[in-house]
Amino acid sequence: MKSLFSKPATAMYPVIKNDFFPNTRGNIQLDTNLCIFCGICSKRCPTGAIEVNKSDLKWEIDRTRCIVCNFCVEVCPKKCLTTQQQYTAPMTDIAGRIATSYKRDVNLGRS
Amino acid sequence: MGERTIIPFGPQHPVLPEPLHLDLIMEDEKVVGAVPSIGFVHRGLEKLVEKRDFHEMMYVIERICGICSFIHGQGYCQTIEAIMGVEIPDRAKYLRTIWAELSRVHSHLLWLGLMADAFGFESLFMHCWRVREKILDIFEETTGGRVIFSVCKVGGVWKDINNATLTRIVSTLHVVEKETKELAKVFIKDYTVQKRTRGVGVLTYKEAFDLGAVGPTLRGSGVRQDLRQLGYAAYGELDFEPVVEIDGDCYARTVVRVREVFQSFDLIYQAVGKIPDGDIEVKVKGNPNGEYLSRLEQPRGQVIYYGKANGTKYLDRFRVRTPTFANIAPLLKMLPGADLADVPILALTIDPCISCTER
Amino acid sequence: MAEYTYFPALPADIVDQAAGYARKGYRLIQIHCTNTPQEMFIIYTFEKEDLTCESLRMEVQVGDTVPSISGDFFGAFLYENEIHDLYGVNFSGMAVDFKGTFYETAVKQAFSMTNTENNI
Repeated sequence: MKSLFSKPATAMYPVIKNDFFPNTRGNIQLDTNLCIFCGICSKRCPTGAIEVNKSDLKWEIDRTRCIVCNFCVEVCPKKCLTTQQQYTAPMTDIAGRIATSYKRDVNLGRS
Repeated sequence: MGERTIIPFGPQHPVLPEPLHLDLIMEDEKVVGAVPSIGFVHRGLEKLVEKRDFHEMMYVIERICGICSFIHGQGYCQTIEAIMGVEIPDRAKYLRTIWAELSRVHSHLLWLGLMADAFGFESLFMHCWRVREKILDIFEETTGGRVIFSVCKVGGVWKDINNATLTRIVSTLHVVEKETKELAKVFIKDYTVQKRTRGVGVLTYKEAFDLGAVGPTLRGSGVRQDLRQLGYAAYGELDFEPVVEIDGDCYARTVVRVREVFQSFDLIYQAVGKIPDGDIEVKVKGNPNGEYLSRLEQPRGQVIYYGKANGTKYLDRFRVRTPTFANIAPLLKMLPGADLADVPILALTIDPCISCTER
Repeated sequence: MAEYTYFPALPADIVDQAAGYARKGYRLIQIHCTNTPQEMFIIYTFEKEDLTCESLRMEVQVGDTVPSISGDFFGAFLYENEIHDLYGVNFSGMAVDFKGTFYETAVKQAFSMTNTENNI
């Protein structure tokens, strides 16, 4: 009987977005200004999702391989990696799975 | 003497949430024998230990199973810590205990929901999972994940819960406890539940012990055995009594789990009351060398971890003997004599977790 | 957390030893196989109701035949089938013999060290 007069336990999802907690592990973001490209995160990553290239000053993460375990964030000596609260958005293009950051805006012949 | 037929049951079946296959040998409506087969989701995670170093392996082990994930991680870390002789700080032990007990609550609530679903009590299933959602919110708030927490590490835990949050968790749990009491009333007193579960699949004390049943399956048959009595993590400083029912039928196993939920609430309150201040991790240097066998209590029963290390950063062998593996033999003992309609309920009362079993 | 003791065992008298444990009120909680490139062991773990725990360690080779202890402990057949499928140790007289179909792996004896094909 109580259920008849109480509000539903579920939310109308597309209209009302779920709110995340500050601790929620979402996607990994890099602050390029602090990064020293030491490569510890790529060595430590259990799935090998992160690639670091010191000579090009390139940091690359494959979002579909990443399991958001937070290990790279914890081991980073400069604390330049952070986990966002939002999960990685769904994508329609397979090429969009790789997110690349460069230290400077150098054009290395990549589009 | 009826005619014998063999009915294949599973791995895909409307009432069975797990990929377990049983060949049921039937005489009319009665089961007279069963042959199990598993291996549908075998992933060979134990072999992966030779390719990943022992810090990274923690995240792999945690993904053996989605429901007992924290305790898998805890067991792995305890095994490696025992090999390396690392003593973790008291606060980390208490935090692990709190998370482990929250895991137990959410696992049992999930199972009670599935059980209700198996005998056709759809609304009870919804209510169980509605209550469980609050526990998952606590997990997300404290660890960052709803299912895979990734907070254990070799040498402690990654994240601390500050005392204000702990107090808030306890007040949330009081609300959850009140709601669980209403659900428990249905499971324990409802006529239809008893009609479906009483006297079905009786497992005697001796059978349960000899066949190696573990966890609620064992305690439902009257054996007072709970691995938390070993006093690992902070359990040595908390007082609790193993929950025991003596009937050994499906009803007893259900009641054991209902009562264990409240026991877990009580353990969390005790742990929050006693939690000391201090560090949450110690630095771990070097590589493990040696072998160790540790036993823990999961929501489903006793789980065994065996680690063997050789001084490099890759382990030689890591073995997980999960509770369901030990519970399959008692399940085969329970099945003969049951009706075909009771088979799903019987298969559920051992709380099968085939992903755990096959690793 | 107590250290567990390992007692040596031989394939010839493993059944008698298991029966001895059964008489003493122990039960089997697990069997597993562990191997390094040099040696290979099967470890049997027994447990009493008061949580005391003892283990037997038995040295084997790939292709050996070991008598099954599923006569005393019915649950042993699961562990033995697993070891047979993943390590290639044969067991004689199992209660339920899956004949190598317990785990259908792409590579036979996937876990044993003699197998050089597995590149995960």
